[in-house]
Amino acid sequence: MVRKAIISLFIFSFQFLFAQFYYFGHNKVQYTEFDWQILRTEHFDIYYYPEMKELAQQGAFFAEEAFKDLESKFNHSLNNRVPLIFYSSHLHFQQTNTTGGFIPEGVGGFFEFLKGRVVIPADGSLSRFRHVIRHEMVHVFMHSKINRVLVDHRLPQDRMPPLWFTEGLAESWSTDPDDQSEMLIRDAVLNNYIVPLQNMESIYGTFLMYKQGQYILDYIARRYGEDKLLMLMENYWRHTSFSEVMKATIGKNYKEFDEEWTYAFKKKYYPILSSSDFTSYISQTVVKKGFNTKPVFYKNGAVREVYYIANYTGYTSIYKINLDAETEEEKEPVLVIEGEKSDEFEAFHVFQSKLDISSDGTLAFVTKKGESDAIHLYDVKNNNLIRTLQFENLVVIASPNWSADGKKLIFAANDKSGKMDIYIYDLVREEVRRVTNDSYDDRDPVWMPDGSGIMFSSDRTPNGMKQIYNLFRIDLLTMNVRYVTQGNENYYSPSFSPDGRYLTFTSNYDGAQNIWSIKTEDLKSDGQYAMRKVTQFTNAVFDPRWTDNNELLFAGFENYSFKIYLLPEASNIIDTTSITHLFMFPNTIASWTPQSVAGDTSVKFVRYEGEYSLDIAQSQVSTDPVFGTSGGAAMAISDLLGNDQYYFLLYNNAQSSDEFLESFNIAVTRVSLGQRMNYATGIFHFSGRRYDLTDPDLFFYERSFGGYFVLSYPLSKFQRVEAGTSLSNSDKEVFFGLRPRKALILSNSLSFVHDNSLWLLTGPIDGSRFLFTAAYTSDVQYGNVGYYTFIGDYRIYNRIDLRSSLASRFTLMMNEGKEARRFFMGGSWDLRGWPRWSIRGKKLWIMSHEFRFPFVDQLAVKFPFGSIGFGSFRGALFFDSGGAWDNTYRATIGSVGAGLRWNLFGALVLRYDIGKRILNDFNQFQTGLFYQFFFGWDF
Amino acid sequence: MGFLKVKFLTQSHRDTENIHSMSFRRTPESILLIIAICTFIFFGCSAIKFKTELNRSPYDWAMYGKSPERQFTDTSSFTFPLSIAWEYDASAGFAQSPMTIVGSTMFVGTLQGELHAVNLETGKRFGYMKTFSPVQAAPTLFHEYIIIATESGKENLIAYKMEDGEERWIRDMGGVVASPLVWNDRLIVGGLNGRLVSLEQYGIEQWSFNAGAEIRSSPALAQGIVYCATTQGKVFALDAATGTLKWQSSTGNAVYAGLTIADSTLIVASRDSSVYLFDAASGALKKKISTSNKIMATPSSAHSVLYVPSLDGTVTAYSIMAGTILWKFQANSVVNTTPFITPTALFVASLDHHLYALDPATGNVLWKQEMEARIKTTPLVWKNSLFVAAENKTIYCFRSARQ
Repeated sequence: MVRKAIISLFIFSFQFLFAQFYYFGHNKVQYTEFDWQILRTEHFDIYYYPEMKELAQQGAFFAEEAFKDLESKFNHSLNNRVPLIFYSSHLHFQQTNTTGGFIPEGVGGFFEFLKGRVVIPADGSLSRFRHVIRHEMVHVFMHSKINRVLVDHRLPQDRMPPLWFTEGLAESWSTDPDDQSEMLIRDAVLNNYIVPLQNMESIYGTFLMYKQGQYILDYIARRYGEDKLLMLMENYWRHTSFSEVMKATIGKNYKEFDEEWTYAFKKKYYPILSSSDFTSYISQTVVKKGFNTKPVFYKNGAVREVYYIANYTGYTSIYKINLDAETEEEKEPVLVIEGEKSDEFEAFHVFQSKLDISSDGTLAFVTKKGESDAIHLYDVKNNNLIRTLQFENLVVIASPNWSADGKKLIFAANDKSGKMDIYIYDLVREEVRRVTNDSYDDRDPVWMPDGSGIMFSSDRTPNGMKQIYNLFRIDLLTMNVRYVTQGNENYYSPSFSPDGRYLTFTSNYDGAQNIWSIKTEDLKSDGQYAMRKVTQFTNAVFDPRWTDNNELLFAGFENYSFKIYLLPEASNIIDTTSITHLFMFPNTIASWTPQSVAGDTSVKFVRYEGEYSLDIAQSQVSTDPVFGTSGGAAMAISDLLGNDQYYFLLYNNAQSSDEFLESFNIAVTRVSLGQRMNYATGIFHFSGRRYDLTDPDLFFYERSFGGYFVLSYPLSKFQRVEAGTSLSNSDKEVFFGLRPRKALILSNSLSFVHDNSLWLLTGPIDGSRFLFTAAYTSDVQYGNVGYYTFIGDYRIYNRIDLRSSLASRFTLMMNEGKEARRFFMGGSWDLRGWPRWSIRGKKLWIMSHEFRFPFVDQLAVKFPFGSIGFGSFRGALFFDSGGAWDNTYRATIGSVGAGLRWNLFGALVLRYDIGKRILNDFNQFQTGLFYQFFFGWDF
Repeated sequence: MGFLKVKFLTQSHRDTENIHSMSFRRTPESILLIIAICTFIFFGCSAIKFKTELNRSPYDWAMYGKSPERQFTDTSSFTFPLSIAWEYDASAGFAQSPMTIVGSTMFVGTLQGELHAVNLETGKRFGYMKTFSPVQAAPTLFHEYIIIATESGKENLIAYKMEDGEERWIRDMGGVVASPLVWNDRLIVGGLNGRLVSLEQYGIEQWSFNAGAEIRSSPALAQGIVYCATTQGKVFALDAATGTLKWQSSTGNAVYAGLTIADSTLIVASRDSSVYLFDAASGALKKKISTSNKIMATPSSAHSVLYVPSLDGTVTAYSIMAGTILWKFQANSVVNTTPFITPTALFVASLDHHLYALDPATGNVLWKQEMEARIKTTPLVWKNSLFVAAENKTIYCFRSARQ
């Protein structure tokens, strides 16, 4: 967004009046200055920074390993070296300039085919790092393979297989089905929301689509042969419809195959119901709405409370609920910490980090705060933030856990090298101590009841590279690490009962991830002991925590939603369960050794110096009845990391041959995004006939040339300061007899921008946006121009319910001085009902109020030959008012009405408004109605 | 040695026919236009119709693998280094075995659905025709016909009479990607419809066998027994004269690689990364050789040595009798084409852009040539010339530099 703002500033630096539509937006902040290096292997150029060299070498090994394997799977190879850009954490990854957009929490990496770049973060787990590298490399190979198939058949390379296939194959060929995918597909089948291929567009881009794609392709490989996956690509040239490609390959089109695979899936999963139940049938549902996870219990005086992370509004926050609530009002979740609106609590890691509360009522939780994560300590009794902890070199932090005396915290953290290890923080001494230091993924730490050690989940198992996690405990005196569970299943989220008698955790030992328990006294045995099954659910459960009343709180995934549940009489179940598993520990259990290209002499290390390539080049010839014919070209190049971008514009609008040389319009801009302070600088030469929108009588010829420099400094994701200066020589010749005007114009501006808005399909629905700009423009040589600019624009969005809000805008713009430009308004973007840009003045104000609400969620029209879906429409009721004037205030005008908004393909919003204009200082409504159709986002 | 006449129709000629069939108003402009177009065609295109003699020779490569045993051997000798004698731009992609050579003519099938005739000495095209569906299988010379098997459409086994270039008979095999086989005046073809059929000169079916799944692997024949394999991994041996099943067996996965026969052994390379050696007469499994990766191309064999190409870029020489590894060569990328055997060199093409000449006895590299593109077609040797079709749509002819 900073980039967008800078480019906008470049384009519109001389016309502040346009800026009202471009100047907001969140900031992608380059908190970290990366010293980029390149590791060159046989097939890859791997971009990394020195702190993560060891991880880069491990990733290089995985990449080459994947390359060899995929060559064979695709029966294909790549002609070019693949640029792989590694980050050691997701927070670093979110700063990448290789894509202009913001990267959400759930994105594990991406392949950008314009430059052929693959961008991947680590998250502490080498096995997941390996999985993501393979996943993205499948995309790289598929892109090349499909293009090759089309080229060989002399067909245009203008299409790719559907996303369910490309993502499904990327998963199928990069990993085996894991806990998450099994949880999702089982739940989808048992709750009847599995989506046939014919309707796959309805879950386009979702995790469900990825996983369904993987499972469907795995099924094809089992049922028809693995070679058929390759043949689906080899046969891709045959038809534009992938359904027909399937018909040609496996003999069945979408419709025929849907019947087959959905039946096969039902046959596989339905029998599970004979021996287990959904969580909601057995347990008490504590929180029924929205997305909820990571519960923790606290007895606040006499009130038994559950604190948890939830998302009900689009912002992820911490809520609490009264566990013994009786009335509906008491059962409503109460907001404790509102996240994702402020710099302090910029983002929660909802699946990654648990909460914990000390005995004195201090809630410890983690959010992103600026460059890295922070542990926040919050007094739940007095509702105030006590302290915020950030640690040098620790980037991502997860799952803080209090010691019994409340003086120490343990947590898992990912340092700049990308290693996820366990740390202890002593709040009294203010010292941090690293407990583990290796390439294994250590997570979910909890104190042993006697404080002598730490229990945690880790992939330091023989099958750790297959994403197998067991429970371990480390003695803090001897630092000796011992197995607590052992097997090729996963064990997560250890938690002790308040009396310390029971250790509970989750495991997929016999299928779905359920709660299991080990009696703490059994842990003293070195030889063997049993774990006991606490729950027997069909669906997966997470993060069990004990209450004060022999109950277990946990999050459960059921019917495509995460809810909080309560299981009573937990200890009785543990003591009486018949389902047990006996651990028999061998004397020594080997773990695994990370593989790496370290020591490989063929690998070269070089410093990154910037590698530029073309992003876009376009030429155009246009003819205008007034301005004549012009032709030119635009081109953009950038470096591989996207930190430096150059834009070139060249066109000529000569109307006769003798004007040719003087009619060149040239602009060159460099945008630098590599540091936190972003800047753009450029030079230009513009000449030609102009028609000034702000002064309709002026039709003139102008030749101007000069340069400009724009700075943008993001204070946080939500706020930034911008400054710009430009110097241009302007020779203006006004037609129809007016005198020529020469000026050397210097323009300086300073802006403050705030934006923490949350958007739905057609515009903001929550949060606020604010802009303040002050500028001065003057002719430093001839004194022909000299005026001040002031713009204040405040917009606030008050949420009424999940999808409705009341939006308000208050805008004031002023230009004052010699040759001050006029602002303008009117039209669908501001003063609705009035002709577009028809109201002009050197001073201008607008106030708008709009009620935004869902109008139609799904509109589908059925025809005998099929149906057409139009998606959702949103409605608006609005009231606008404003005025514009030069020296003397003219009149207040406005409009009132209703409108419909329709988002087309996520990129364009179509708007239709009906209403009445309000005239003459609000004394008169227009006769009849106005009807206005245009495009654009809501303000 | 036969006397064959070839007529090929150029695309521009077809266009001309279409133009002629349009109704023109006889204005002076339209007459001038017709004259101009005719002038352009007659003087601008050189290969509309002509005749040439195809002098058959022992070097001829009239079917995939050269012989029904599909051993991919030739007696030509090479002195290294080789240099490029000519290049031919076919402007279309190639399948694994696009070339057939008879006399001084190379027939090239393309994935664009074309058949090109190229003069071997000059590398110039002298004939061209559209097949309207991609040609995956090698063109096959059968009596006075050139047999073109295409991958899709209903006309997927077509016999063109070389005398006049006209289509003489057609069969629908559900698509054909396996190269046909010629034996005793018969053409034996496996189709994607799962049928192996034997046809006589005029396309009349003599027998047909249902293999139950797609046949993508080119069949092989020896001692009057024809062998085929399917994408379900099954292997069948049939009496070539009657189509009677003699024995059947199976492998662990789909068979895409063509079959080859050497030392009374049927050699089947499967996608389960194994090579199965069956007694050709009885079907008894003599040996199962586990290789390092999947095999998509026909292994070649000579002098009781089997050369197995693999998708992991290796070419491994095995003793057919003992099943032991004699040597192993590692290319830098996939080898999905058949190693071509000559007395002096084993030619191996790889997706690593290289063409290798290996010592057949040791696997040592005698010579290698970096190409402009990946190579995924089997090299072919004819009379001291080596032909390679690369992914840049170009066919290269190599000859010894010191010749």
